[in-house]
Amino acid sequence: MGMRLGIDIGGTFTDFILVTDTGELIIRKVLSTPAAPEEAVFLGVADLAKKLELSLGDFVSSCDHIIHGTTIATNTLITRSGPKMGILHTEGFRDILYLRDGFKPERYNLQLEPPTPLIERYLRLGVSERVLHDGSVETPLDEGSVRDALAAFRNAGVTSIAVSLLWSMINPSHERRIAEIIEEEMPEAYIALSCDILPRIREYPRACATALSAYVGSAIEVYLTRVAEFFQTHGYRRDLLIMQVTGSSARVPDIQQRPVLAIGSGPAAGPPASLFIGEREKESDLMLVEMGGTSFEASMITSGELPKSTDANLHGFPIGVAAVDVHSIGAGGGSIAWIDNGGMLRVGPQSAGASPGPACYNLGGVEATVTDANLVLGYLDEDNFLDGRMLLSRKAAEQALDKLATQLDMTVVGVAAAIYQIINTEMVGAMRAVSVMRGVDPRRYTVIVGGGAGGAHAAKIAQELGIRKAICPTVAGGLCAFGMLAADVGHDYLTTRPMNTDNMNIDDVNEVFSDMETRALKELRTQGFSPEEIKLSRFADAKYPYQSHEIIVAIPPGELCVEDIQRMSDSFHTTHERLYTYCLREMAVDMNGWRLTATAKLPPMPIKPEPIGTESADSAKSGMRPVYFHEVGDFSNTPIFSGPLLRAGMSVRGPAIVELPTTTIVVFPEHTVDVGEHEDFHIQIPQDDL
Amino acid sequence: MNTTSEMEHSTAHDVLKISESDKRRKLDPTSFAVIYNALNSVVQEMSLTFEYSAWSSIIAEARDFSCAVYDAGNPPNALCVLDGLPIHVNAQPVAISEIAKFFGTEEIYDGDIILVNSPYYGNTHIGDFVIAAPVFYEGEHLFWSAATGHHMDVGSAYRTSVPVFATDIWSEGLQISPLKIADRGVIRRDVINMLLENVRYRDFIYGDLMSQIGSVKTGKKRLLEMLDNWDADTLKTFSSEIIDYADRRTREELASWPNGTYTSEAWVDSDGYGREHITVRCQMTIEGDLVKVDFEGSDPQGRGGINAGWATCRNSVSTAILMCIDPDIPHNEGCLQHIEVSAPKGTVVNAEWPAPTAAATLVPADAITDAVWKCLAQAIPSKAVAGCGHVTPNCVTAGVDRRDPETEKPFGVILFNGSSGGGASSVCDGWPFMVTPGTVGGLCFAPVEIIEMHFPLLVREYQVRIDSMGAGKFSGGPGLNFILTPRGTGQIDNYGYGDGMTNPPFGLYGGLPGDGGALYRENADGTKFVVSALSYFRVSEGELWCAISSGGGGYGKPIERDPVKVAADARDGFISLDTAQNTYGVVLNPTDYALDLKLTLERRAELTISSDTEPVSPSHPGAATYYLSLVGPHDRYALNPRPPEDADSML
Repeated sequence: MGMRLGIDIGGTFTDFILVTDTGELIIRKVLSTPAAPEEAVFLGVADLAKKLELSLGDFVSSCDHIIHGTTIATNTLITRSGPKMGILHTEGFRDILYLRDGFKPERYNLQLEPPTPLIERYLRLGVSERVLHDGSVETPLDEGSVRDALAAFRNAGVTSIAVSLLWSMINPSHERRIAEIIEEEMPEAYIALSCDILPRIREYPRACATALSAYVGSAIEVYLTRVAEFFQTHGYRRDLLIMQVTGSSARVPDIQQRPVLAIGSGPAAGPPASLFIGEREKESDLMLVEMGGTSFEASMITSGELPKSTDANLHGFPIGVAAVDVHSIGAGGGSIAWIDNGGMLRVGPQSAGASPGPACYNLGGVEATVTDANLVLGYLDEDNFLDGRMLLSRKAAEQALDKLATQLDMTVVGVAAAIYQIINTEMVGAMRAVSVMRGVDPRRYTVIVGGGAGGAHAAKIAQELGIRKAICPTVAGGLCAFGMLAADVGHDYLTTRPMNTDNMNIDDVNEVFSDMETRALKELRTQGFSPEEIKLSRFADAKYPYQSHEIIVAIPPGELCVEDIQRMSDSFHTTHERLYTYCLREMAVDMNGWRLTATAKLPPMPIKPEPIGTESADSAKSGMRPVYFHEVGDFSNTPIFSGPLLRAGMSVRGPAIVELPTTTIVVFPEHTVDVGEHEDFHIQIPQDDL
Repeated sequence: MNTTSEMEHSTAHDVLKISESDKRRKLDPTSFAVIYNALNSVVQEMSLTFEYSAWSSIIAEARDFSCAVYDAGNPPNALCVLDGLPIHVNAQPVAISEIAKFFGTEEIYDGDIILVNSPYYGNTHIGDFVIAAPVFYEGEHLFWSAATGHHMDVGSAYRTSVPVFATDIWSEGLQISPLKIADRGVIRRDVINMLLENVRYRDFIYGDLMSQIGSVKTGKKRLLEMLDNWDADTLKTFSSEIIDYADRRTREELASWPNGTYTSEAWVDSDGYGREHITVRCQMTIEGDLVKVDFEGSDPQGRGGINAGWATCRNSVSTAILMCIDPDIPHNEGCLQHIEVSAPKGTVVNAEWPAPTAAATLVPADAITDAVWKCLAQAIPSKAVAGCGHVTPNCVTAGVDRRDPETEKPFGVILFNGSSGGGASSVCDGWPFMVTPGTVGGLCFAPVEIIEMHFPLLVREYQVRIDSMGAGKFSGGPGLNFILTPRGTGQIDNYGYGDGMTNPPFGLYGGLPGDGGALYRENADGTKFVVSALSYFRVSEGELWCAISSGGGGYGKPIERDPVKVAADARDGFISLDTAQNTYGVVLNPTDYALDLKLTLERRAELTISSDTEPVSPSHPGAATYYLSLVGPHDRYALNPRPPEDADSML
């Protein structure tokens, strides 16, 4: 068996996680090179080869799987550095991207700048045609109107064209014909059709996903070709795999067809990582709590299924595809504490980010942040932060906090403790919001801890939510890069065919799924997976008639018969009741979108469990330091444990601190940490009975 | 870890010992901030519960609802109102007070859920249902968990929940005075059934009602958990301190406003029965940290449902002011007490029983907001905004879905798509689709494909209308063309419940007004039947229903707008070349929209001489001409056409 390499490009660092053929985990970080992100990739790979004392060729060719999470799409979007782009709509609807869904945030802020669409209005043009909701053609495509629009695009120097017509997901013939005309008229242009990118009802998310694809498509193509060539040149024989927002990875050509899948795909690897850890620890209801420097990400995994949502957006642009459901708020170690003009202590949403960073980084930041509070409370160690890679200044943190303390007539420690509690309340609120939206009772869930700041906060958040257990893996600080190694290979398919359970023709449903399944099997087989290795999961977008929000419900496998209609309705009613407290069982159900997820597992990683020992944790104790606990109301002298020295079977009772290479676990009084056979740290939290 | 650093930390620890002053406070800063955040999250959870489970598009897409938590004071004080619909924010407290007053402490029990919709019991209009659940802890009533939501139908004689032609409260629909829909923990099935028997679209109303009840129950559950965590005394202390906090911040904000008295006028287009330009007269006095608003001299109440009850009046004044202060200040009693409202009874802004108020939250509310904004524009120009379009061309549309011949189904829908643009501010252009000053955005519209799937309607056009917004240094958000035709229904009955077509969104400091928009039917032969905003009209297959919304008002002189922006606006078809040249004084090459700087400077010099500098424009009623410009020799215009007898049968 060969090695497996995960590469995650982040804003500051490009993370590498390598699992060697003996199951050793190697974590490497290289400074990102935003102007040419592939340089950091090449550098890091060379660095790893050196570390393993192999030539670049020997190292690369001994990798069985290389999985890459790229931010090229995201960067192109944020810096608005995409190509000159045009979009074609049905005549009379050229403002779909401008009008969005109509929503204006910050209702009471009348001085908020209106949003700028991705494409200027003179390049958003209508063509004469009209398809109706049943797919029938009311107005045939006027090809002259297409050629006129293309002439305008050519004049303006457009190199990338999106096409998003009404009802193209039911009848794509006009979009397909337009693509042919574009190929004739502007053979060099990049083309994205909405019937390929997101064949889903609702014209705005569909148009937006199509425009985003056209916007980032060329940049992704150039970048991925370069990276794929690099690995190929050095002897990598397999397909380079790219992380997708859907939570699985796919080959470069698949991403080129639907570039929207690569947008914001980094955080989508968090839930697969959680699933992997949950599986080996035999937990299937999981809540990912990932707290980094600038953002806090939460995700709920129920019954071991990756949660999917079609609501995801990146910087206000909906991507529309059924993406891994990760909820993000602006709360992190860098969140700044401040006092508003009513005298209340507030934390965030402003963040000091990585630069200037928290005051204690001594990089020019002067405002007190959550990290500063954590340092003063003793949760972090001045000399041993990030495995000693960075020195922190307690003095700088105290100075920053002191400004707030003076104003509030509190002590520095009092302010630090308050900051810690306030940020936790915000994160608990975010978790509750996710629970309501997803209709789950968080108390039955096990928290999976991720992110550099996760270890200091997650157990407290879990406690507030009534949760009994949190698991912090050794790779917590690089959870997403690890998730890329653990994620399945997969493809997602969607067919829109509106039906209602009252007059549903089950043969139509069978036909829809059989078409998608044939395609799925074919595509995964060409990637070398046998039919037995391929898992097919079916879903439908369902709602009551006239209802607006849809729920994705599971659909039984195999040839469906008339009786299955009732089973499908029941599954919807039950889900609706769970999510929203009520259901109307006598009511018929609309099912408009039919989804198929086809996944295949990569071979298991050679990570071996460690036998559970009976030794005491004392051998891993590295010292004592005063640590503040709210329960105590003061500092107590607290034992510090070195995470890497803690072996399977050892147990640490709180209060204590466990220092891991990428995060620090704060073990609160009454909490206990048990080390599992996979070096996952199980934090046990006492709670009253449910 | 080595012992040296352990020593250092111990020293630091002594120095940093918690001081006594932290413990002396009534409520320490930590608890205060933590409870504040926790309470926000309670209300957020209530809102999500409501939004995600609602049936009708008014709640789920248009988000016409508000959730809040009150204390159990007499009267109850709003403690947390997060992202509520502005038009509900300062009205809901009046309804909650009426509920508390009606039952008194004797008759409010743990487990009750109480509903009210009557405007003469503190509500806005009967379409809004206010639902509140008392929260008891250890036998003591401490809080109210409350939600207001707009329902699709309230059993009016007319097929709309905004029946503007009703001339008294009885023809408006079901008037619900405070009513227990759950009694001591048991849902009153009899009461709910009675409600449903009296409305059309039974399933919709039931679904929305259940989700609204779910929302207040969620709030109650979370409040009880908070009480477990914090104990009743701490939360009571918090209740009074959060009010002080908002009070402090509002006081500080208002301190920078100049003392003085300002007057303005705003107008309601018509009363539905032929009376036009009903005047709202406003006098605002800023005195230290108090803003007093009086409506002495306003016109008498109208015959149709264009009147505001007291809750609506009070609310419209306060939200207009809240939009000009820091939006981060909690909109609770501490903040609201700085606004004092008075209005003579029997006027359009404070109607007397049994006057109809069906369109209270829109028509008179928007005129009141305009009047207040016009005063604020004189007092604090930098914070003011130009006029936001009213709900000009919006209708309730009803018909029968005959697309499937076997299942003919009556349907009713409010489509907000053709809604007006917002006004420009002193720093940026206005937004499109702001709908009304009473919501200032915050709504979503129904996607065209969802409309066509759900209803027998075919949308012909949905896009920006050229030259629809008020020009200015910052221009108003554009108006839209929303044009559809019935398909598979035969005909649709439309009840226009809007305003602002003849009295357009105002411009400020040289900025021009929006054009007011229009509402009409285009007949099969191409002629138009233009109607006033309050109207009934029928559209049959082969004809077009045209909702043409207004752009918002502009801010500052058009000749001061960045010529590069003007060129882009013209190239993008937001404005015509003619407007660029003659209003903005920007001369462009007609083929490539290249800016001719020399001619532009000359043109701007010419325009400077004639440019208007009135702070608010127009200063007289009936200023809009756009809707009239559509009426050619073969077209017709009708003021307040009313429904015929056969308009309201369900089949």
